[in-house]
Amino acid sequence: MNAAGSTNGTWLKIYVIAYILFLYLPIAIIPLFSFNNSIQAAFPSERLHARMVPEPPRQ
Amino acid sequence: MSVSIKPGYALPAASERRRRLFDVGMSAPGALTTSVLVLFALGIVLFLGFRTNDGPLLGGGFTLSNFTAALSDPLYATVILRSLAIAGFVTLVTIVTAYPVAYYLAFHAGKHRGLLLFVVTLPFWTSYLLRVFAWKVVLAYNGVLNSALLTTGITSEPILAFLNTPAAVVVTLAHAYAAFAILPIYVALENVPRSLIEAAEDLGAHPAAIFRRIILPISMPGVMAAALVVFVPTVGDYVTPALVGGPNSTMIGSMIQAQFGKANDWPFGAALSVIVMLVILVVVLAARFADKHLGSRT
Repeated sequence: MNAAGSTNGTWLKIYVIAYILFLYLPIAIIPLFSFNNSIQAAFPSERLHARMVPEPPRQ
Repeated sequence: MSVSIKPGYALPAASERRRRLFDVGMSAPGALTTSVLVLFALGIVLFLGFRTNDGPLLGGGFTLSNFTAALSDPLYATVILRSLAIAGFVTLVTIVTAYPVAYYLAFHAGKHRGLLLFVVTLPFWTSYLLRVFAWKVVLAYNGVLNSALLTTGITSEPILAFLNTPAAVVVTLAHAYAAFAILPIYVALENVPRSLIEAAEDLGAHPAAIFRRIILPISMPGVMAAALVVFVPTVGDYVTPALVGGPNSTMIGSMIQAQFGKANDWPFGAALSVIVMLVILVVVLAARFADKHLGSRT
């Protein structure tokens, strides 16, 4: 079923891709932001760290 | 031997009793949940709204002063109107942007429909608070958007106007409630009879006319359902205005939360909640009336 025609279908596909990016990009930033060492919500982070990775327990 | 069933045939008493017991058993969980979790909670809020704030948790005596104070103070009327305006704008933006996605899913996605539905709903597996905070990182003074604008040379210094504005609240809420708009519209579009569209195409109707005369009217119940699902929780939202909104974006949910929190005036907060519920009820009834009488169907 293609009531809108193939040209409109292409534009619609582009729109849907843009919309999916709109849905995903803000969430994708969160894992990236977890490496931020600053107290401010600055981007890109000036200092990166991996403090959230726990150190293995010492024997 | 032939068995004939009389028109007025009734089940034996024991079977009838078992059927009634089964009906009661099946409806009991829903009835219990509705009465305890919804009606009882609403009853407590209504009860608290008429109590005085003089020490005990449930107030000391009955009064109308909470309602008269809330209705006579122009501040609350302003904030309620602002909440309705922001929620209305969020609903409009969410539905206008979600409709093409639902349309694509219903008419163009083909064998990828299931995968696309999964992709569209996947972001909503993450916490609502996390998604709102993500927008704070995007819109902040040193955030992603300003960094991108500076890097590409579009602006020479960060723009202050992204965060702490009503626009930030609208964008964040439109993102937060996107799936709640896409799914009901998609279901409504799925129910559009393909034979009607094919008949219109065979008769030479323009795609725009097919959309305007057939698809849009039949999908309107889905649009109305989506509008309600987005509008009602958005009016009372307080997390998003608190995180990405500024002083001009304070919504009634924040004021109610303040009454139950810092102000420690539960009866006044309950009265505000009751007023907001009544306002939402009036808006929803007006929308239903408009949908029924002003012709959403052709």
